[in-house]
Amino acid sequence: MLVNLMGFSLDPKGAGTLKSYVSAHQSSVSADALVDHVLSLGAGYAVIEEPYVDKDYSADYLNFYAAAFRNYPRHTKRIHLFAKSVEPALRLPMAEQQTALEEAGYLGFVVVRPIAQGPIGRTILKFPSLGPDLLVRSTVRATFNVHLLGSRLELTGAAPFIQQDERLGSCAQASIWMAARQVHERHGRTPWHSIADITALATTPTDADLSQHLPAGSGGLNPIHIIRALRAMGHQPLFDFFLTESESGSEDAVEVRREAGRSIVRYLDSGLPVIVALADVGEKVGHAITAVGYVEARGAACRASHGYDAFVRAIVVHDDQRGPYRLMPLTHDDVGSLPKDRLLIYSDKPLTVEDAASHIFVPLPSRVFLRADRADTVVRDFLESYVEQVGGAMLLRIDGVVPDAALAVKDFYALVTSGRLIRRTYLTTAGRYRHHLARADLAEEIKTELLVRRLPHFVWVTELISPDCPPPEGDDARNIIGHMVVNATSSTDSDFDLLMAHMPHVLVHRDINVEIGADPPFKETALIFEMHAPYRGRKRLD
Amino acid sequence: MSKLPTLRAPGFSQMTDNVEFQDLTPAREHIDDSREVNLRDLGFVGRVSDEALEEIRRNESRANLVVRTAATFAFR
Repeated sequence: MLVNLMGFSLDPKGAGTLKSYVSAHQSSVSADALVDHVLSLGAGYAVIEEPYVDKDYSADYLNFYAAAFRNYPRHTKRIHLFAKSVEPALRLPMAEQQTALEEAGYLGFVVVRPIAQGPIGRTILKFPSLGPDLLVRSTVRATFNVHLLGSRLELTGAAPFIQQDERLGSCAQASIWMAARQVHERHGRTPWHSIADITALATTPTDADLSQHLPAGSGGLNPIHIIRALRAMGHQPLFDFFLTESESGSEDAVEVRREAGRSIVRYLDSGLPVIVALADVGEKVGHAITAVGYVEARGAACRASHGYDAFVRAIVVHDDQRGPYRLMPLTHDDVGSLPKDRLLIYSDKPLTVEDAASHIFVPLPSRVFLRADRADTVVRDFLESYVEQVGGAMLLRIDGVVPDAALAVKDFYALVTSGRLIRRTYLTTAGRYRHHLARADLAEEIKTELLVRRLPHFVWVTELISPDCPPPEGDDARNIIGHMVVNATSSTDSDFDLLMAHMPHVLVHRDINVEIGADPPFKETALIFEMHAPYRGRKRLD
Repeated sequence: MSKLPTLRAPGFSQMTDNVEFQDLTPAREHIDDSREVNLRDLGFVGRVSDEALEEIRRNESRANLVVRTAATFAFR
């Protein structure tokens, strides 16, 4: 058996051929969206590698298709996508091909499974670019090494996508796969799992719900099944719910709906994928998709919010039924600012986070015991208490040491008391926090004070941002006026959550490792610094 | 520079006292008393307020409603 490579240009006719392959010659919204995305990346040439042994499809084959009476092929096709033709590159001596292939601009690949009801297998493509006014934050991404006839091609900044096959799994399993595969590839803290593995973990032990469909689990998963699968895969499953019993349109209901976008952005900003469930997108049928990034407006805040969603127009989602890298606006007000051809459409209307997101599931690292919303509440509470109780006294102390500091300190207090201060809260490790801090354009004396403090392995960092901060430069992060660090491995007493607070001219350090029985069980020391200037927030890298 | 006392492990290895250690911890700037404030002296104890604790409890309760939706929602 030989490996065959067949290339073709992605002119309109070639794009039609690609669509035929990824749709199995059927009408498919997902296939249309995939091809449109590929063309938007600038793909000009495709190479079909056949036969291709795909580990994921092999697992599906072993668990279902091999036992079917009808013959299903064992192997798949893999379609590689390049910006330019690779025909000249593949005519070169083998040793020179890798460089030439890299120069042809590798954009990723699509595995095409030999099953008509879900031909799009493991798909690794780059994130989209959406023009000068919108910044795509590809927060949930990984680096993949791809081998093509002995040449190794590296693909950075991609989030895995897959379509459900309706036999081994539904959208729920596909969304878990898309979330978990990125965590596996990027962080390496959980094992590799196929769709068949996920179904097996979600359906053990089985129940009546699961057994309504054959094979068990192929008809969808409920929230408990999703949580069970994530835990068995080695994650700490975090979940949240954004529907209330309050009257629709009431202040409480509106705030809970807004919290959905705010919360999703916090986890995405942590480099964690978010499984977003949409409770009502059909006749008593819910749907699950995977959020892999978000789209930020380049200019000023686009809504009043105390979270980083203030700057966010949409989340970037993989929807196994609507295609990779679709956009889900946070609210209807954001729809007009986004490219229409990428919106998630249901019943001729765009689905928004505010209206449609009902549940979220997040595969947290197993050592994280503190929710993002709790970290954010603790930070806000500290800032409000600090300004209210000792803001005046501290201002006098600061004024005695740094005479021209009063304006910056008063401005900061005003942002806190008015509720206009924007908090960008994300999870990171102490190592990465220090790595960013060491490179930040923050005064060296403050950096040193922060860097030498002992920290737990995981921390929640909250960057403090003025709503009037200037637009980010390039794809950099926005400027911040301070930041706070919360212990992410805390779980019982909220008084032990906050560890450090950097505010204009002041750094507060809370030592929670004091003698047993001390009241309060921590010591808080404030250091006053002469220097204060906004500094760059964290830009999440691979 | 400092010298550590000799530590002698029985058997195979030995740490000697003739190594000079260099302290590589970043040098913190000297902070005089006027710039260091014990917040408790100003009457501040940064305990999490009852309102914040109630908000945390409310958020956790809302999140836990997910479990109650298991019989209602299936995602396919």
